[in-house]
Amino acid sequence: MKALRRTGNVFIFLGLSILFFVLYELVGTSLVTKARQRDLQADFNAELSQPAALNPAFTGTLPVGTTRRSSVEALARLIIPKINVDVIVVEGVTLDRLSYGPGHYPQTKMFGEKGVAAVAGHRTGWSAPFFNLDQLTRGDVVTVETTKATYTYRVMDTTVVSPAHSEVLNGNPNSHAVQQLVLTTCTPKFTARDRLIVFTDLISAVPRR
Amino acid sequence: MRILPSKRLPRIAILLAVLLGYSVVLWFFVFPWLDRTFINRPAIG
Repeated sequence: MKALRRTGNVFIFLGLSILFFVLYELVGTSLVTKARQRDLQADFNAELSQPAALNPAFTGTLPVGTTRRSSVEALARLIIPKINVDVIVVEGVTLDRLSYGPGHYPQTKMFGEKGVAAVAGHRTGWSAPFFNLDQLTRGDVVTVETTKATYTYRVMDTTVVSPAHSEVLNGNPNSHAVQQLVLTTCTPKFTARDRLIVFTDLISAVPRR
Repeated sequence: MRILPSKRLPRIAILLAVLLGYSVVLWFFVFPWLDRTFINRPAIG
């Protein structure tokens, strides 16, 4: 009887530990990312409000004397109206960088350049910006706002690949668009087994005035 | 064999300290490892 009670206590303890992990994954990590996104949004808005941002030569660096709130540079604002995404993209796709928000793959082109730009984002925890990425279908709109222009992309195709299939970063093989944006995230939800890929084509680029 | 002291206050204090230490190890070491190993690796390649 004593052994049974002890076994029961062990299972209760393990169950509480698992609940603690769920709390960490869904709440703890998201609190970190939300605080970092707040700083990035403030930095990005400050950059947009600078007159220098209107200069085509502007590289996105704040003028001397302006205090940056985030230690990481805000690269662009990614807006996906259908799934209520409005986040700041940072440079790099290491797990540290992705704790700030979706990250731009450094080996791909920058938004607005000819070629393929790609962005990775979390689907579980860390604010899960791409939690509903699987709901995007052909024709949905994705907008990327930089200090130079606002780029609008249209979803053309989605696919699921294993993590080693880095050729998806070369763009949609069925598209002839000169500028493409590829979004990647984990799938199925709550695992890192495969990657969900969303291919989009640029449909308009409006320079900032 | 008795591990914890028989007095109530020290016993509770030791239990709370162990629980706090366990939680800290989970939160800062075990959970981040579980997260990056099994849950979150959205980048390709």
